[in-house]
Amino acid sequence: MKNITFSQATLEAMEEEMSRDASIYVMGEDIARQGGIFGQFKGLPDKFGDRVKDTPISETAIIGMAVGSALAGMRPVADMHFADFVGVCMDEIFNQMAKVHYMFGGQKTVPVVVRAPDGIINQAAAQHSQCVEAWFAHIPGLKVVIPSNPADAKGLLKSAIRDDNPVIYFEHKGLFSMKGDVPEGDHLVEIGKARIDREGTDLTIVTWSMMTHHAAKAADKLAAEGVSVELIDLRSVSPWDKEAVLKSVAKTGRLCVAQEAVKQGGFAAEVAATVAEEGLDYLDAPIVRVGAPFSPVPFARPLEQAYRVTADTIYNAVKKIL
Amino acid sequence: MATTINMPKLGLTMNSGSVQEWKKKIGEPVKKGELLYVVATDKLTVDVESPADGFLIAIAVKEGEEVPVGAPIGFIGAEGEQAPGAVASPGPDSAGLPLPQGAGSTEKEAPKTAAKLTGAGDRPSSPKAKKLAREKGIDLSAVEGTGPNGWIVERDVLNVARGDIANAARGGKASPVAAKMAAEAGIPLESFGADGRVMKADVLARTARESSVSPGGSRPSERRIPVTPMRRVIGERMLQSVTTIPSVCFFSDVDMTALNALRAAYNERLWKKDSKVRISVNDILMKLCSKLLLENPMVNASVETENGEMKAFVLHDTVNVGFAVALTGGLLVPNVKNVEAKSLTRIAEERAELVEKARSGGLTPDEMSGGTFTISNLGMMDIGAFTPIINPPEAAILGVGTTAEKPVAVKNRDSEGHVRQEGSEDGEYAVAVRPISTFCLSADHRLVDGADAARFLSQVKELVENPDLFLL
Amino acid sequence: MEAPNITRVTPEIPVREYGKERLESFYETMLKIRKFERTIEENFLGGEIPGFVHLYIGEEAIAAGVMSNLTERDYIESTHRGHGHTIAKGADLNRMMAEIYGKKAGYCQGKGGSMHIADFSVGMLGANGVVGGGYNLAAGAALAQKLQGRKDISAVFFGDGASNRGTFHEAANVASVWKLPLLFVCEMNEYASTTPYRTATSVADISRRAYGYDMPAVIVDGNDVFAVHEGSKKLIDSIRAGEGPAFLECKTYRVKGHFVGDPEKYRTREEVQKNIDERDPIMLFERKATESGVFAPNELTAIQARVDAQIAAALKFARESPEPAVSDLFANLYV
Repeated sequence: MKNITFSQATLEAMEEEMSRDASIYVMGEDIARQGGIFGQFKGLPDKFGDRVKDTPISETAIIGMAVGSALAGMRPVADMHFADFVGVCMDEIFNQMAKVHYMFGGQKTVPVVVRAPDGIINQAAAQHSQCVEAWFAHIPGLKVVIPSNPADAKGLLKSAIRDDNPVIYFEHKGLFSMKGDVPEGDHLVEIGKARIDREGTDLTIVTWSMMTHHAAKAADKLAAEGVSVELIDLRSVSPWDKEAVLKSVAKTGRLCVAQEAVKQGGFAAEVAATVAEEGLDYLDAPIVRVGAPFSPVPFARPLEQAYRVTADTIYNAVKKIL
Repeated sequence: MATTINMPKLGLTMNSGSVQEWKKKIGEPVKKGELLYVVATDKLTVDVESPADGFLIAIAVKEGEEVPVGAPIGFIGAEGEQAPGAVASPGPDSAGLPLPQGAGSTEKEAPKTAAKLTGAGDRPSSPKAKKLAREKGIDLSAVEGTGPNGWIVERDVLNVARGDIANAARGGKASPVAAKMAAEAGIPLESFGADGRVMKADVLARTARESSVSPGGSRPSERRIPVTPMRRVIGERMLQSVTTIPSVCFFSDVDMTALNALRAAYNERLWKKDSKVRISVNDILMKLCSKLLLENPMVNASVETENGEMKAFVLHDTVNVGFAVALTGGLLVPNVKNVEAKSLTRIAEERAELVEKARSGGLTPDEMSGGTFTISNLGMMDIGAFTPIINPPEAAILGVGTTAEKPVAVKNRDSEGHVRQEGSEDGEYAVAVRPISTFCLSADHRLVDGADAARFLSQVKELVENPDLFLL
Repeated sequence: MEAPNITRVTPEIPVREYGKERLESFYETMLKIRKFERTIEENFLGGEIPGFVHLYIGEEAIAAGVMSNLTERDYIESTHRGHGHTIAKGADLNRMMAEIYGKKAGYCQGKGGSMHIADFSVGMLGANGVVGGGYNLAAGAALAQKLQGRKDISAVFFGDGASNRGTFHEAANVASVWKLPLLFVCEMNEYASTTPYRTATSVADISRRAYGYDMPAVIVDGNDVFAVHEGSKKLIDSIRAGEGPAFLECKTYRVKGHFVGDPEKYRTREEVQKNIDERDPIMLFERKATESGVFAPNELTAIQARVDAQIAAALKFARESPEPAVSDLFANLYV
């Protein structure tokens, strides 16, 4: 174990994997000379030279080349700079990367990892703050992981790199500087397996990424009032750990799903709908979803503050179903 | 003309009972003498036969509902006949009487009930609560919701279920709302006393007094188990004993060497004779005590009271010795009659038979009543000593603790081969290891004074240590 | 004004010097494509073949000419009009036909169909249903070849319509700046689906755009297999020498509709017929081959018969192959 930041944990995963397998290379904007705008690639070119590539500002080319090089035997990691920019190369992601393996009858796998820093941080405004995991959970052929802490950041990145399927790896910008204990060496986290952050009996909160920490704060507050919360950090939204969620709701009878993204059409809706379909009889109260308002992320401080989903947002929503 | 079935009196002490099970459904034909229902009384269940030929046309009590002896519990009549007191003309699938919900339900009724439960959806309720209500047969329309937006949630249904059970255990003498409120507040319905129907106001008054309403939303951490009729009777009897009988306890350590040897000799003989009977320590104690009880009539007596005032002492000229049989959820105390007149083998046979009956629920009221003395033996429990509670109306009870090998001081007599201490002389004491049991006699001081009780216990000790004296 | 990066290449090598084997290969490849497409057209119209079918008829010389300079270790990215590229790259006719019929024995086990045939064993990285979707994939394949230290190249085929996609810009720029071994092959067939190129494209010669990426370009008559062979060879040699990407523009004409069943309201029958009569690549080849004296007419007939037999066998194979089982639905979704 060592106590390192989320960002260092991802760097450790990259170093370990790139040392292990020469077909792994990484490309993106500002990653080689700059070390990534969040420092998450710092020092990597010193060790791996041309396998760490600064690209033109051409997201389409980045993802398209990642897919093409994967078809030619490489295992690329493509950095999106900001998750908001994946819209630029959406065709390459959902029509090419996600479909090649299936559409060509399994002739070739597409072991690509797309790293996408997402989430609200310090008034970055509408085009640099979004959480878009739900878009990708809707695409068959992709896997989508979204860690909430340094240990999972490392374990999931290593698993993503080793996975022969294309994986979208969302890393919350607000988490990069967060420290935590990270197992050294080959620490792998199974994709699609949730983490029970804490066990409880009265209510299940399902969440992921940054929101796990807000939910934990809400759970602390509720615990002080005698409400025992079971907190599930999904870690992967596609595939997602339906069994863990259903099992928990069967125990608690109450479900809150919290996400940072806009509530409408978010992944929380998928979780809620699944529990309603497959676990209705478990429910002792309406399911409650927590998400951002249906608007772009605003810039001005009071607006952004009001927009954010916080521990209080979760707490207040949960109180309604107790 | 319909024949009324009344709650039968099944034994001297029975004041009330409940129908545990109806063997016939409403509308089914039944013959006189055919098994019709099972009554649960204080301590036993009794199969009861039909008093008449005809059809079971109505049932007037819920299964498990306690009613006084003599109360009407059902009616036998002609096919299609209306039971006395029926308000509405019974339809083909109607019970014929305006009955409490759940009573006398027929197979034809069942779907109707289910439909009603499903239809209770007009009260907002959680899916989990709905499912639970279906499983427990609870009508959601009678449930008050405490969940989000007034939803009926799991805890509401559970509270009603608890209330129903507690209410039923108390003979239904509480309004449903009161029962539910009492259950929510954690107040046992029994605590309201036996008089009158418990209403919402009673519970409110109590909760206001005790300020013990559980805070909304929290769940009780304890479990509630309804009191069974058996437990209630045990409780009443024990309470009656300790509150009305001035009892006094006497202890004595008894050397079991001779009794054990005698028992071993008897059993070896029985074994050689291919008999299945085995004599227990208790059997021998019964027999020995029977001799002493006849010699000490006040210990084999009971007090007759009127309005709590002593009126007469009843001296019994036979000895009926009760013994406790532990069961899951309680105990029963049958007694062997006329012990003084019976051989040890006979006593052993009857004792074994009574134990078997107690375990299978087949004891008759007679076998349970008429005891004059009780021996409670906890020897198998590795218990040193205990003070047994007198089983009223008896005058005394003997508690027998575990027999354990203990060092005792005995007079050193060479001729008896006791352990000799180095350098000791005749007439001095030596330490010997003996099987010792502590006996405790609890006696009703109203009948037996201390000296008399003490004398009785020392006589018991003497006889147990020297059983050959029995024949003197 | 001609852009300085452009070279117009006309065949310089006498037909005789190609050698009989090479010529036979040109002919057989073009014939295979032609007859394969005709068979598909016929059976599509007959209701046997489902989905969308886009025919390569009239453009056979481009696939045959470019592929004559590639090996199986070189990669190509193809388009929705991709049968010709796939056949020329050396794919198996049986498995192609079975795929077009949606059969389990097809290249993609019936998951792809006409627009999505791939044969990775011959370096055919897949036909792409998204117009302009192949550039960056091909750039990636070229990047892999470069990272792996190989001397192989990648080629991406696209039409004049696809040349208007922004993806072209990103791929051309990065390929040029990273000197990737990538050949852009523009099949200028005059119609972007139903839109005449003149009304949708800013330049008469699309190869002018390559100038913006500092890329050499060659313009050839796409219906002359000799021109395509020689023009592409010039560029491919330069790419293999590490000079970076290059641009080949092949002037051709799409004699068939955008898809089988296209009502073709956007052009006249006369225009189409004129191209068939005057520019048919197979006719042009046969004329040159016989005029040069390398082939006697009956020798060509023998090749035709051989190809006919191959196509008939492919059709039989496809028709008789089983369809995928419903249980195959999720097969190959994830590894």
